[in-house]
Amino acid sequence: MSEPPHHVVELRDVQLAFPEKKVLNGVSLKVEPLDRLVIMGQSGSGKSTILRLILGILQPTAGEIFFKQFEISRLKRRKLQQVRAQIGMVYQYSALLSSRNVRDNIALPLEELTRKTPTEIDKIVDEKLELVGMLESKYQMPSELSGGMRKRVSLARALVMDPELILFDEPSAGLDPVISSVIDELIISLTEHSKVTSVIVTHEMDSAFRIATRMAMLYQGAVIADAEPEQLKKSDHPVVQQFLSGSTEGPILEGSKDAVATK
Amino acid sequence: MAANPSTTPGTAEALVHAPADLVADVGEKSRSLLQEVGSMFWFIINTIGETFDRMRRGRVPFRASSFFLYTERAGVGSVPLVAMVSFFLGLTMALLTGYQLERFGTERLVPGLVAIAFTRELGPLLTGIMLAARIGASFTAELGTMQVSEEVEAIEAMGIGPLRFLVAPRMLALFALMPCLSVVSSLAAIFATALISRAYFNIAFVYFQDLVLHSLLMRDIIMGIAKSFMFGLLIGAIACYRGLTVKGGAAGVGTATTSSVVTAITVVIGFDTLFNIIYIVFFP
Repeated sequence: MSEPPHHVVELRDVQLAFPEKKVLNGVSLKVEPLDRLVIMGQSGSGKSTILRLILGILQPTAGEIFFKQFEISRLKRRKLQQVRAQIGMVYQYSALLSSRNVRDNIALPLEELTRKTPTEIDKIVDEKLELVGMLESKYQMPSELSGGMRKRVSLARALVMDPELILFDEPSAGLDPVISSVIDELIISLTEHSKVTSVIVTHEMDSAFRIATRMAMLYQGAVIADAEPEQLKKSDHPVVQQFLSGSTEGPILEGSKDAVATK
Repeated sequence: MAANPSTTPGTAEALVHAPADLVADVGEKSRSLLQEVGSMFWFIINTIGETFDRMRRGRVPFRASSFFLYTERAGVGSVPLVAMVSFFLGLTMALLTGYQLERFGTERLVPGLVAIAFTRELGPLLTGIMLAARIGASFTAELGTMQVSEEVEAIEAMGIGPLRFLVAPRMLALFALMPCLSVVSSLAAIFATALISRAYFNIAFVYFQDLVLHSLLMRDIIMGIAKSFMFGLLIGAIACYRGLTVKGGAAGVGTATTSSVVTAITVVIGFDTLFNIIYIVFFP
């Protein structure tokens, strides 16, 4: 087994193939402490898959994935569950438990994974809800909340165990530009306030440049660019240039079915 | 039947290939059936493993409130349906058998016949079928919806074992409640038989009670209850397994729910037959 890294997350030549498709073809990435790494790429390029690999929900076909000193794919069930408790995840559609109210959704990891008393749990829940500005919705059901509110509750749930790493899957998806900016600001302030490292997956460029301290571009199952936002803007890679400009002319659409639609 | 892709249906070549295609099809179906049985077996083992793992760490595997919620839904909520169906079936059975036996002057056998049939066989079987349809479908749809809306994955991502948290209380609720509902079913059927015996065959309630108590053996009751425990476990496991393996959105939830009910009913009847064969062969 190779030497464990000193980064918060490290992916070493990770490959993932499903019977019908090869998704990742040798992805290598390092996430330093307190980084806000944005992973960009086309829809279906495997961005969200990387988050699931970091959580150990999917197993790589080849390669190694480290969270701190732990090699995720080699952990036994119990250890993996302990490691997951140090990672928060905010899902694209929030994934709040629809049968539990906001308070119970946020309290769930505390109730299940710690020995805290109900009073202590309530105090922490209130504190996290206050951070995301949702204290007044404490007893509402997820179905009574708007998309932006659900995202904020999901963020509070991800923060409740004081994780060292938070993973965001398309945090701005389905939100209007104003609410999207609010969520972006919240991600920046909370990650800075809580000293958390984060990995954000998105294909919304405004949001990506607002949040990122580093950006990686995923294309055809591999990372083709990994740099600070300003450096990435200056990249002369044709795929990066086309992706950032949103142009229909360039290598991304070549030979794809989407190219037909543009003609 | 999966036709050989290189042949056109109806041609002479297709007819030559037909037996081979049939064998290949049977083999494929048998393989997927065995795969399914294996997955289900591991699902039950993993659920028990995750639950005991948690207990070894000195923690309760799930909240009592969550267990009681499912026992209330599965058990108390099912009492009217189970009682009503068993009552009507007991009524019909007593009437039909009574009229036949009356021709030989042996209508006194009706109370014992219905009591034995329900305590040993029909009570657990009917309850199993009703619970597979009523509760199994509901568990599959609930867990399936959670699966497609990423709620199950979110639970897993938090470091909470979804099998322990979602499956164990549901399985345990059905395991514990099935024997109680089987008893309700048997009592409802015996009560219906008492009414019919009194109304049509002039068997007084006290005499009816005597006839039932004399004909019932303790081993019939124990056998019925033992079967019920197993039926509960199987229905719970099948329903939860189908729910957590849903793929393909809302349509997938629908398909899984139908499949859950069909599989659970088939497995319950199959297990009942197997249980009876083993019991009769080894404990005649």
